[in-house]
Amino acid sequence: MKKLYKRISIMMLAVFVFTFLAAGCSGEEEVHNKKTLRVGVVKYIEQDDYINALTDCLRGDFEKMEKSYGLHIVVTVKNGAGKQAIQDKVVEEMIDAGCDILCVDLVDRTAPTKIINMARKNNIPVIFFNRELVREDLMQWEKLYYVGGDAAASGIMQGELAAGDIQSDAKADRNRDGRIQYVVLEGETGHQDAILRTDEAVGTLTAKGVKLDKIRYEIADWSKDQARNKMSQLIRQHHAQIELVLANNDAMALGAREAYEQSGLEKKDYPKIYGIDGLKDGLKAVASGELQGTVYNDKEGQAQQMALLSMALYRNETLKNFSFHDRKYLLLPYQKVDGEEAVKRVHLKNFSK
Amino acid sequence: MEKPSRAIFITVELILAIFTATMAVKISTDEIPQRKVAVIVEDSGNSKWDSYVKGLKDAAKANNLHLVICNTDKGLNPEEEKELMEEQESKGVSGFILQQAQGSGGQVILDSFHEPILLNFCRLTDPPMKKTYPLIAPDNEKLGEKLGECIVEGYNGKLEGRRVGVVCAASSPKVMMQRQKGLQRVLEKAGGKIAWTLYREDDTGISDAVRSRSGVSAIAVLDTESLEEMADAAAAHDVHGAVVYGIGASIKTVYSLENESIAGLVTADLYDMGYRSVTAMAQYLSGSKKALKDQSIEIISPKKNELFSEKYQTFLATMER
Repeated sequence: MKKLYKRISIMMLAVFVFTFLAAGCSGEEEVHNKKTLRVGVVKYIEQDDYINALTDCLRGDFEKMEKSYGLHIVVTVKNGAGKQAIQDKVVEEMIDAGCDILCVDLVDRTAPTKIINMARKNNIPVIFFNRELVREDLMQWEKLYYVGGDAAASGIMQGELAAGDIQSDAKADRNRDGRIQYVVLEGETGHQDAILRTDEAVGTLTAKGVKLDKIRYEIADWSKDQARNKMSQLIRQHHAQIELVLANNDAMALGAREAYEQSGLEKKDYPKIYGIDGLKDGLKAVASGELQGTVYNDKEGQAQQMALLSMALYRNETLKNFSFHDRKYLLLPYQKVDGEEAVKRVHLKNFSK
Repeated sequence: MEKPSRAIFITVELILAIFTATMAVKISTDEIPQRKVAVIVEDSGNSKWDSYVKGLKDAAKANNLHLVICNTDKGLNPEEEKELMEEQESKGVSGFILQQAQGSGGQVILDSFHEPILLNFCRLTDPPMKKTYPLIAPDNEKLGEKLGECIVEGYNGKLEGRRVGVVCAASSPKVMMQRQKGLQRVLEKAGGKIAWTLYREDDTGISDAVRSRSGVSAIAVLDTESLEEMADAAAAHDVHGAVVYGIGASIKTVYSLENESIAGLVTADLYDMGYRSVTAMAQYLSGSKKALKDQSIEIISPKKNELFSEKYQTFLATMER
């Protein structure tokens, strides 16, 4: 009897092993091509000047790496058209077509689960960037990372720049009421960086002793056009009352400036306007005095960290040379840019045109 | 002693039976016959492909095909195309829809694959040619002609003595040559003259080169990315007063026509190209061997005041994601 059990067991085991292997073989095994590293970059939207500049830097970094690592690197850049469901689908298609590393700027920072699950199932590391996801999500799997700036620091620096200018310029308080009437142009509702930049900029001004009167917080979706339209409305309502504009990025700061130029107000009635990002147009505007300051978001540094981390993950190398915060975060510092600093940067980068 | 061993035996057998049943179900579900077709175009994430990709996907859904749009970068060469094709071949792809990569040896590479191949955009032929692959694409010479007609119309037919600058993509010489040929024929017939031709590289753009040229009444732009860049330059009054006309297939080029950064737009219905390509491939794979044949795609030249008319509603809808 015992022998019979043994035989049946062996037969069943053989059937089990065969079925298991067959099932495994019928699945789509990833063909890992050693000659080519495929990087999939998925932006949240097509048109964002900062993200596009960062993506260009990333392409440039990978191009340099091709030579130094003797590897062919293909960087495919797609976007989620501003909808998380579309971004999830784009990531799914990228994985389906063959991808070694994913770099994702989430549409909705609170909804990365589908992307994480797909990446995990296919063992593809994900480097999230620009929009910081919730810590618990980032900790779900060891191959998830975040590269970005310290958003709070950018707000503090913007506040410091504005406070310094206001306190050293008696004309900043044009109506001489001892208070500064201000407007904030915010990136978008619920965006971690937008919230932190606004809170910290206003908080820093207050902490520095600048008395503030809020006129309005307007959401302008990081867009120059939207900022110009919203600022034009505010100018029609408040005329020359606005003394300070804090924008969450340069594009919106430039939009605000354009609204003033189109308003017919005299230049002496323009407010002080500050941005964040330090892109070409922002730096040129600060250098020429159209904007009073910006905070440089280190796109080159972020792109470089993303490229180096991608390569290390692809080659399964140690990550001990990376300066992680909390094992997962690579946060690059911001830099204050006033008029003098902007002139230097414009000259250095040859932005004469 | 016998009782516990029987209990263990039954438990083990039960677990194995459940595993076996699960795996058997997995095998059967994996083997649902959905044919796979791979699509390879350069810079596959570029928004200029949005309506094309939408056409591909809609047709794939209608024909129960699994579509794989390969991840590519700018400047696809034949070797990279081959690598992608081999990778997809190893994953069991049944057919390819390709933008034939620019460079030597491309034809030989295509000849080495056994799966059916359908070309989009342009057929680049380099000897030795064993086969001619079917092509579904707009007629590039006609696109150029249409652009020429658009410019002539913009000057009320009076192009006598006028000089036109041409901007085109450096990356697709054959396509650009065909378009320029059609353009030149129409311009010269109307008394105009091409004063200069500039080739746009992806990494440097073309604005600076155009800024250094002057003395033309109009600039004819022969590809989408150059047109987007020239529309920005025109909006910034950076083209020495020349009027910009162009061939383009992105939503941005349509906006440029609407906001008058450009005076004329000629476009091919890329949604239709994508849809027809996948449909033809699906029919071929289902046994209709004559389904893969050359087809020409409709050329459209919308006017600004007609953009939102019923006539162009479908065309515009395919450009939105």
